Amino acid sequence: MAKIRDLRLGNYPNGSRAFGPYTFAGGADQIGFSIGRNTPADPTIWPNASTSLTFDVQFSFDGGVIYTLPGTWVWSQGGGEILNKLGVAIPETRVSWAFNPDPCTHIKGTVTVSGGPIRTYLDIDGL
Amino acid sequence: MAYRSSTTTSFSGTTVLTATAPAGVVAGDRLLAGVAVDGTITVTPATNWTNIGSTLSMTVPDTQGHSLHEKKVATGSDLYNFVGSSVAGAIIQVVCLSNRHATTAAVIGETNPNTGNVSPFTMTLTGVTAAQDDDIIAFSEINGSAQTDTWGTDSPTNYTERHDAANSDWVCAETNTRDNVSAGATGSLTMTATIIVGTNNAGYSAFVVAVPSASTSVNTGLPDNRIYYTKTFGAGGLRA
Repeated sequence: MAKIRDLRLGNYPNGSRAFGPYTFAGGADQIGFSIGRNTPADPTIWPNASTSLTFDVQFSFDGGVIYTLPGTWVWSQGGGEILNKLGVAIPETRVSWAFNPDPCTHIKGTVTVSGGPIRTYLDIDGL
Repeated sequence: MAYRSSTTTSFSGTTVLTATAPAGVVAGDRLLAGVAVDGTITVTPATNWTNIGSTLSMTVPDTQGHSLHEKKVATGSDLYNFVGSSVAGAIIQVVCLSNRHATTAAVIGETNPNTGNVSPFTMTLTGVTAAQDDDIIAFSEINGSAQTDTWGTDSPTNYTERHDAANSDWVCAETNTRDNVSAGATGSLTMTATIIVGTNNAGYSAFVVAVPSASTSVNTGLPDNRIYYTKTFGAGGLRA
């Protein structure tokens, strides 16, 4: 799998939605999420710090038979413009994972919007 | 039993540094985490984790920090909720070891030469003096001087590379391990760092950690209603 646009750039209401399961043929050495965020170039994307995205991600290492339990990896982030150390607005928040010894074969989970609605996108990639 | 599993979690543009649980963690395992964060960032350890060792603060080629954290006795439902004091790129690498001592402190060698280096260059990691059957983990990081610089490394001799990660946001980090070593000084560990993407200089820092084996209890043959005296086998005999 190269890159999947799990959420197209658009407006999403409060609430939860499931994503996946996505398959990484042969296992992925690295899986990543890229989430569009607020910049001067497009201030409509995720502008409010009070608007949160919460991910609950489940991983499988055996072809999708067994997944890690919900709550294994939960991550939440607010919006708004954030700057890197060069003073440039960061266009995406990115989180990625790698596992040893067994590569991840499948991923699924839920994403929850609170304090929204939110305008953003979500890309999922695996290498 | 020693190395069980490990993970790398990379971040860009967040203070929420929730690392990923290694696969198969069970109660009684020992967990260690190397946390590499770009900039001058204070890392709050995850719940019930302890920051051990120094925070290795680099200023060459620019600011970046490296810290080492531990949870001596895992529960199997552990939290990995590290937090940065400000938004930054980061990589957290968590290693799970089985059959390690529940209380004895790890021995740590710290390296922070705070120098710029041109690819390829040799990373010289301060070693440790290990006890018999210690597991050794080498957490290292490379501090790139351009945001998307990506560096790769080989492994120290007799070590197994578990992770060699880059987040395209200033930080590269590596984990190498060696199980059940013999007692004695490891000497310095050397690795070669090579630029993969980019052409710039880099600094580096590292923690080499010796994690004690679980005690080996000696049954003295006394009946169960008597006090058992426990010794731990060390190099060349017994040690208290």
